[in-house]
Amino acid sequence: MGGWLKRFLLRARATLSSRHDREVRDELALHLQLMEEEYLAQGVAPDQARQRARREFGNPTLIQEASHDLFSFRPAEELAHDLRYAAREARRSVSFTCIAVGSLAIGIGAATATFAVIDAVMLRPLPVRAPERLIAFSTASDKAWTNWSYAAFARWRNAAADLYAVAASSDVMALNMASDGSAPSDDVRVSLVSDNYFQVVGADIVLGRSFAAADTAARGSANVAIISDGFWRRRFSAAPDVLTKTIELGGAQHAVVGVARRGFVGHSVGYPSDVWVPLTVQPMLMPGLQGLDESAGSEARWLKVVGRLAAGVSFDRAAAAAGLVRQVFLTEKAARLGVHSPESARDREERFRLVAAAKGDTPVRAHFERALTILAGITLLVLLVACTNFTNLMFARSEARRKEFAIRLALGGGRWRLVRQSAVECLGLATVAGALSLLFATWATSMAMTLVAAIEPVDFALELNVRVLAFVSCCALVAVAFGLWPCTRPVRSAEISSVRQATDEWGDGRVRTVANRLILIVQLVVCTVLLIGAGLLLRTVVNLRTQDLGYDRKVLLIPIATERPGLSQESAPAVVEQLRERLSAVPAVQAVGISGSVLLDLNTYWVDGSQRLSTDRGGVLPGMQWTFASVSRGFFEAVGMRFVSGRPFADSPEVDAHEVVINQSLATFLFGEDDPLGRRLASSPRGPMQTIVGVVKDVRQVSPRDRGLGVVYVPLRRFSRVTLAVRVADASPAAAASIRQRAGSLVGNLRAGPITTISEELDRAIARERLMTGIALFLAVLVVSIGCVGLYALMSYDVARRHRELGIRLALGATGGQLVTIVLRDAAAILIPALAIGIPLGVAVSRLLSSQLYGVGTGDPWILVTAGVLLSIVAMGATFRPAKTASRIDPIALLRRE
Amino acid sequence: MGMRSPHAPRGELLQGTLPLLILRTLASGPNHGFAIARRIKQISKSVLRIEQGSLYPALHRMELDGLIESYWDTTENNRKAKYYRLTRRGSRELTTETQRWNSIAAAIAAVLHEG
Repeated sequence: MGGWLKRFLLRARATLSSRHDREVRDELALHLQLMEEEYLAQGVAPDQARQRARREFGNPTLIQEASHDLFSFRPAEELAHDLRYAAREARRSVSFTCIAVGSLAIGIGAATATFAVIDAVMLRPLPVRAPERLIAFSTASDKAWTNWSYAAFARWRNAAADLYAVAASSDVMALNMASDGSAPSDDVRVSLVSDNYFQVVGADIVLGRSFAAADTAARGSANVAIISDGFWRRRFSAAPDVLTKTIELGGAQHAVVGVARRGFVGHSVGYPSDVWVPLTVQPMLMPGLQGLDESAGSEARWLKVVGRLAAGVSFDRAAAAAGLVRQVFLTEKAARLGVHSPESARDREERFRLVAAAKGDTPVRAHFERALTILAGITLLVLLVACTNFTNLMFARSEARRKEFAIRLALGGGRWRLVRQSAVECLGLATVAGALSLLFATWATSMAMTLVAAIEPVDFALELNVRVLAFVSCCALVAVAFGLWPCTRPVRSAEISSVRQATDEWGDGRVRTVANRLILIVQLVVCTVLLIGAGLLLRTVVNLRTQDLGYDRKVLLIPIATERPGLSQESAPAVVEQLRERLSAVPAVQAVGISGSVLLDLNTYWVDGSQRLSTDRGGVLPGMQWTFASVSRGFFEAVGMRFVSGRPFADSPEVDAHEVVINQSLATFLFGEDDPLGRRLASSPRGPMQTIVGVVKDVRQVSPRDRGLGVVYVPLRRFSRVTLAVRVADASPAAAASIRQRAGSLVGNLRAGPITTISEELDRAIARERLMTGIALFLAVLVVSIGCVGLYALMSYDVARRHRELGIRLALGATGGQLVTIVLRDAAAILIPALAIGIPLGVAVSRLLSSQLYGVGTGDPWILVTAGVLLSIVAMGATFRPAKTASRIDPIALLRRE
Repeated sequence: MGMRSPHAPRGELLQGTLPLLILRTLASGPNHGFAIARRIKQISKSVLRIEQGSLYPALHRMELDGLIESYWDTTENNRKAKYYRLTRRGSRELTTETQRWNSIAAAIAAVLHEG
């Protein structure tokens, strides 16, 4: 048992330290000495005794070496030697090392950063006990779970309890919070959960206790909270006495009763929770919502339902049982609401599904999947370019060493030894690059997360886990494979040629550099493709930003929330109207309109193509996406929307109730060439008919990409949140600032959100596109730089190799300019095929992007030409210096050297 | 180094017997290299003389094979020397090898005496 271990230790000691060698030396010396003494004792003369002992003993150095070889790990020693050699070589050509390592590190780093995000969003299971037993109650998608009503949750919880345990959780919401009497500080992310949530999900409470049934027994009275580990550290500095503290949420104190295990931040990926409170506090935190009604037919959907399979229960069995419970519930509900009620109709359409929930609820995945796929594609291209660049650099390197290798072979050096040396060097470079790539990836992900967090309130714990490290290692191995290829070459070529030939600078360069040229062409093709893709995305963002929105983008937007204690829903319109009048009276203000939805904010609209519109001519076939927008009469003028015909609704509240304005697309869809004015329209099967009094031109209503969306503008009636649109005479930043200030003071006791302009709203709406484009441009620039460094290296090498040829040309009367042309022509021979392949390929590949593009076709000639010209300029720039070197060759000096 | 003491009677070792002799020598107690060589010579009444140089590669190989192990100690003359002693595996090896050797020797003797 211990035999091999002991043996290993003996050998390791001999390999790693010189002690073994020293000991053998001492041992042999003692033997010699004892022999000598024996001879002396026999009466041999001293110097003779020594000689005799030596003669009889043999060569101690040989014995010592034999012993060393016996004990030490020969391959390890040779590896150490090769590594030292590689390190020396790396120091000798610093620029080569930096370029090779740097470009690889960037390539691997970009891929790793993308992989880390993909891992966090798509691959990583929740940090809970046995995540594979988790199930979620959902409809179509297993990425983003469906919201259910409390009633639906209660049915699942009460039935089939032997098959699975069921818990519910609200979505994460940001609340203002104060802890232990301190002033309310920044928002805290709160989830409302059922009392068994932590047990069901499988998250441990490391400090204190989980929620108990007693916490939820009396509605609204149990004010307890469990906090996340991160929140505990952040807010309470990980104080052990946190269980004696309280936090204030929604005006009530909640006693902290537990801290969740580190890493657990809820079931929703990208939307972490800081604090969990029992479902029963819902009426206090979410006033106005009948969230805890258990009777069928109450359909405030605000809960995600998650379950855990009981031991030995198969997924299919649980799914069947849950489906049955759902059916029974729907039947009961239909009986109560009526089979023909819209609720019931919707329920029938909805397909219930039980889904595996190991990876948690990932709405963010649905959001970013497309962008992540594109990003993954781009970063793989970057990696490809970095790897091929590595191949090319190693090629150049092995060429530069032909002389050395040929001499070593001629002197009897082993071929395998030479290959191994290059391989070790390659491995060393790739390892360093892999380590550096982790730094780059860390930087890139934190950068990207900051940018993403500015757009959406997502928050991932990106980690360098086993999967990410394995990915980096794989990338590094791929790079090694790319770099190894040239390593086998010097041997082959040196083998066939004599030392004389190999050391001769003439060689047959053309054949040898064909591979390098092909690699460079591949790189430049990738550059072209990426430049085209990035160009299309850039054009899209520019188009989105500069397009005619149909209204004035300098209009100020003031969001107002009227849900205030002491302000009844009935009196809210009057208060807002007052505010509107006061604002209108401000001299710089030209017009003020009120809107129930926010321009360009998709979340404030309900867009549907299935709901049927009907006109006074009867029902209309579906086939058009349309939406509502409730606005005040003055809104059209305030934002600068243009009427094609007709007028805004009337001012009088009695009349305008039945008047609507529609947009041109809808008018054309409904009435064709006929005049829509005076016609009547109902937006739901049983709804009242409303008279069309005006038609406005299409505008970008719900998003900057609207195309032909039908919009019905209805008079603003009841609301809880509105946006004031303020048109100002002078839109300079200074004037806008003063209006903002003025408006702020006028808003008074209504709650006003941050005042923005429509321009800013537009930027926010296209923030995801802008981020994507920014990343794509950044990576395109990286790839083009790597490609051009490769081109520069190859051309420099080429000029050095053809030094003598070029010198002779000069001596024979060629001018410096002609030599420059020769080199540039060589570069063009790489660039032109690359463009010829890259441009059509770019057009083909960018089809994958077409759903992301706006106002630009995949084959847009301007983009193609710009990408081609840009790449040509940069490539020629990279070739220019080597070309210049060629023109400066001094034939006299060259001849003298020969 | 091909040099042999001119006055020594021919006592070259058969191949593979040196380890067995070393094991046997160490069976009577740990010892250092020089003493092992001397003892083999003494016991065999100077018939068996091992080449001093070949002793150490054999000792090292046996140590690596786990038959013997080494430690540093002082000799009776108060000198630091590397001592070798049998491991359990070494004594097992000694038993089996001795048996093997005896049976071979007996077989050879039988053949030689047959004529």
